[in-house]
Amino acid sequence: MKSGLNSKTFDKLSVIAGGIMNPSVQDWKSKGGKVMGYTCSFVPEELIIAAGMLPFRIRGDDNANTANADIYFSSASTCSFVRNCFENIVSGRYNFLDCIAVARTCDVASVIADNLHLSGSKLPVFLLMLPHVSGEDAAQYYKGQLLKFKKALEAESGIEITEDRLRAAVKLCNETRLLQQQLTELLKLPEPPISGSDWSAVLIAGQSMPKEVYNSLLRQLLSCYDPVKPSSAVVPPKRLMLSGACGDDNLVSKIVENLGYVLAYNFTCFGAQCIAGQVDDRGDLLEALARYRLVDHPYCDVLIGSAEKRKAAIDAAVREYAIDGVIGQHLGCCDATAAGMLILREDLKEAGVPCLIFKRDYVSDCSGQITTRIQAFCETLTEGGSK
Amino acid sequence: MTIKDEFDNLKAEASKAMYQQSLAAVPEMAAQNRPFVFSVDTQLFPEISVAAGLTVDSLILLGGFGVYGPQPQINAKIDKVTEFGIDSRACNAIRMAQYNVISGILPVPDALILTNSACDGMNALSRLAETYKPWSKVPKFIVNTPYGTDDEDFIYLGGQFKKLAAFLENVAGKKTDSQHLLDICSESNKQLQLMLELQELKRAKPMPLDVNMLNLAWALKCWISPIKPSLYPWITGWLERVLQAGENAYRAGSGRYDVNEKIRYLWYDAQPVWSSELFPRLEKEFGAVCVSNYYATFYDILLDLSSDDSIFTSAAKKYVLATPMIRQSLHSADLYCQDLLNSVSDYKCDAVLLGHVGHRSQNAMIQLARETSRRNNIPFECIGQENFDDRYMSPDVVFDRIATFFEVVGLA
Repeated sequence: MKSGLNSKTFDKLSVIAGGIMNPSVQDWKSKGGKVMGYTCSFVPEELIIAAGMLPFRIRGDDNANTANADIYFSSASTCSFVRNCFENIVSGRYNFLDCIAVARTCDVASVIADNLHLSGSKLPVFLLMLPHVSGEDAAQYYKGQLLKFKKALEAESGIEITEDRLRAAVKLCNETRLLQQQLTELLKLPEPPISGSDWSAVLIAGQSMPKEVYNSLLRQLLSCYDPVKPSSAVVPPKRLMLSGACGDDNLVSKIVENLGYVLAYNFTCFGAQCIAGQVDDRGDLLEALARYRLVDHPYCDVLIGSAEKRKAAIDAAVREYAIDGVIGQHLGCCDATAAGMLILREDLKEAGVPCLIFKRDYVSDCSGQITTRIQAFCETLTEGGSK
Repeated sequence: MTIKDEFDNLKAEASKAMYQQSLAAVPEMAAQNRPFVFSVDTQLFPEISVAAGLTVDSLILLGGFGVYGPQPQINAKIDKVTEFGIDSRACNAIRMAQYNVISGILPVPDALILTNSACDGMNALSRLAETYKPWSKVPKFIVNTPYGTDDEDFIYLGGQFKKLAAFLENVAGKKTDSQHLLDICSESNKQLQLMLELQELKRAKPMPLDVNMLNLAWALKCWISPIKPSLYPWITGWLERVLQAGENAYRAGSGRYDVNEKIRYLWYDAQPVWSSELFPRLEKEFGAVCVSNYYATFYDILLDLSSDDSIFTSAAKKYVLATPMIRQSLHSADLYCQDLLNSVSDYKCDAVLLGHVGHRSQNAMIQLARETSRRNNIPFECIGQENFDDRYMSPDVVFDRIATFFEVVGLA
């Protein structure tokens, strides 16, 4: 943790982001609360909160052994991130979950429920169908799917999701987004008071604990911010952006920082993609939740028809965060991000922004190879002079 | 004319129609058939474009199957794709199609139809076509294929098909005669009826016709007709003749003229482009006959011509539930496993073989399929081949694996 922010508060958030089960979840469960795991940022946390449950985003970890998952998902052809998550579920690391919501994000994730049942799991699993196209028509369809999800949540929790409850949940999550955006703003500074990997940890913590508690911690974190004077003695380090697959494992962020560069923006679905803007809390809330993801901020790599908005978001980030180069990663068996990276490469080429695109595996240790590639890439940035 | 001659002639006619659609022929075809449309999937209510007389070519089929020629040529293309920087582990049909789009070897179309089905790879292909800069001004229509199979899903997709029809009218520059569309839909239903009858012959033991005749039936109706709408009546005639030849063979009772059938297997997958190096050898050495595969399986979902709305909604239902690959990739594992059981039961299969490494859904459902087969005492083997690159697992290795499997389960 760099100086400038409240380190004790950060430590609390870091502990929550560091493992799957965490003190905050333990506390919630000890009070009889239910926890719903969810697999994708398209699953609206707002609905789960309105149903009185704690939303917990299922993520991978450094467990490289996916032997159990590989029985169900062929390792030669299915995404290592999904397999890692599945492994953690079947091996009991998510035993605190009462139910799971799986978004139909990709072909492999869509089978999680069936494979869980085959494995003997009795966990209730809801499959949320989501459009793979952005735009108004798709948002209307998605609204219909959210209505089904809402009914399923009511049945599971025994709590009616009233308009008031949902509105309160939307406001709560909007506050979270606002605080996270304020934190992100700090990364614009020449010498940010928080590193990119610590920023990621703060965001991951937000997807792993009750929002009220999280917002309070985030306010504390921000309230102690003390601008650090830029050091005049050194040339500012190169500033990089990360885009592409997952982003919850911090592998690239840490490599970048260990090499002495700044990871100034993380445009992944565990990062800036899921905290953009606000959900409109005034009118039809289900429609607002659908429009937020499919019309206003359609940044996911699975969405056809979203290219212009995605490009605009990346262009803006490059400009505002003074990015010198972009690192794009895709997982070997993720068709969506593989295409996304080809598109990104072309867009950045046109904009004159250097980029490094690579394919990696989520579970195997590829850090040595990636370090070499990032180092070589950053050296070319240095040779090219400062931006 | 002998039954063999009849089948050989029909195969030659179909192959000729198919071969004319090679990748190399596309620029000329596009030049001669303006407006020219590329679609990621030509099965999106193809009767609309056929009725409009538009030429609609398939980006995915040009990628995967439009590389007619010897296998080394396909392998060389796959290498070129990798060198170009498309280094994902996607199905090579998808990778080749992606390459075709972003390498600039295809002519600029007058319109593009994009969709997320049948799989993540097609979704990715659509996104590349959407963002390919030389095509940035090409009018595009994006279909969001729902992953659900409720009535509301079909109504939603049917509504998109209506908009697609209007979009294609704009592309064609003229209104489609509604009676002509009805006639084409009616003809399409007739073709499907013929294919369903043809499919019934798969129940016969021994199998009276080569499964490739069913593959060709699908290819002509579903791929060639959108490219050459003028062939529509000829395709109906071709299907009638194949059915007649199949029925003659069935009546003769001796099964396929060139095989002594001993084992019947379900190739629960798309057929590899190099299957000519594998299937005849299995026939010759084991009497093992492929009875069915994804593209040789047809579903009884006809276009409902009773009203304007019903046409579009039934076209949606047909697309979602009766299109090869979409049925197996887009939907629930329950449907996938039930289809496996139905095929084994209906067509009296002794074993199930599958395993294209590029098929994500299938690889995610592999244990479900294995367990379904085990519980029903069906010998099951997942091979792990690549359907386009025969170097990933050579036909010899695949043959050995299947031979061992047949021996171990007591079929050979």
